[in-house]
Amino acid sequence: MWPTERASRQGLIDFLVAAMLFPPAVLLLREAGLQYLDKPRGMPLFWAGAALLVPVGIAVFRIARRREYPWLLALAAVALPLFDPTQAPYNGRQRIAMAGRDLLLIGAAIWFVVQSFRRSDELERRIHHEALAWSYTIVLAALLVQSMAADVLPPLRATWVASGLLAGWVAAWLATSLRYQR
Amino acid sequence: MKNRLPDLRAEHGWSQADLAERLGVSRQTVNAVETGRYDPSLPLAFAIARLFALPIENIFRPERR
Repeated sequence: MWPTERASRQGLIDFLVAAMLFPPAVLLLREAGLQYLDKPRGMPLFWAGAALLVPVGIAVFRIARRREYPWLLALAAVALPLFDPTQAPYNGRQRIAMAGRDLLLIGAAIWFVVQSFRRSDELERRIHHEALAWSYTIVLAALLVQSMAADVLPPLRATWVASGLLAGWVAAWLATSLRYQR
Repeated sequence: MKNRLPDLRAEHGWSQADLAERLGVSRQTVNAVETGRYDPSLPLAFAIARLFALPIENIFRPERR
């Protein structure tokens, strides 16, 4: 098993498949949504995006079935920057639907984190704590640098920060896991 | 912290995975304890001692500084 029993090599392959196909799928579906008045142009984009989501769904299902939650956290880090909160809904019903979607996503993320900790033994929890400490420190340092050079850098989005925290967590978790192994 | 876990495990004919299952931890944890990369908590040390029916000090020995 690599790098740990909670994250196998097959899980890594599934994560890479999902991480590579999810961004183009979202971009195609978003473009299809923007072309909603031009159906001959928009529908192929929609079906192409939907087709790409199929292997993504299969990969995510396989990861979740094996309960390798760290790979799902890594996938969340990839998916978060694709979340576009600037596309405001235009009426109350759409706002409620969007709020429901966001709550579902946040709830799923919290559930994965809780499950990840509940299934951990004492060493794995220690590894998670060390990884979180590294992730927090690295992102904090990056935020400080960004704040000092904010006038020459593009505006920072909260989803990037959240994504950085998750990516840093998973990367530090992998590095720390390997350190405790031969 | 040095320990006799590999010897005791070998005496019982258990693999790291077998021992991990009996202790309710991951194989990674057993491996890290055996190699001295990780010192187990008191509850885990007592569980190991109970499993091998030995006093803790017969299994774990602090390294000299």
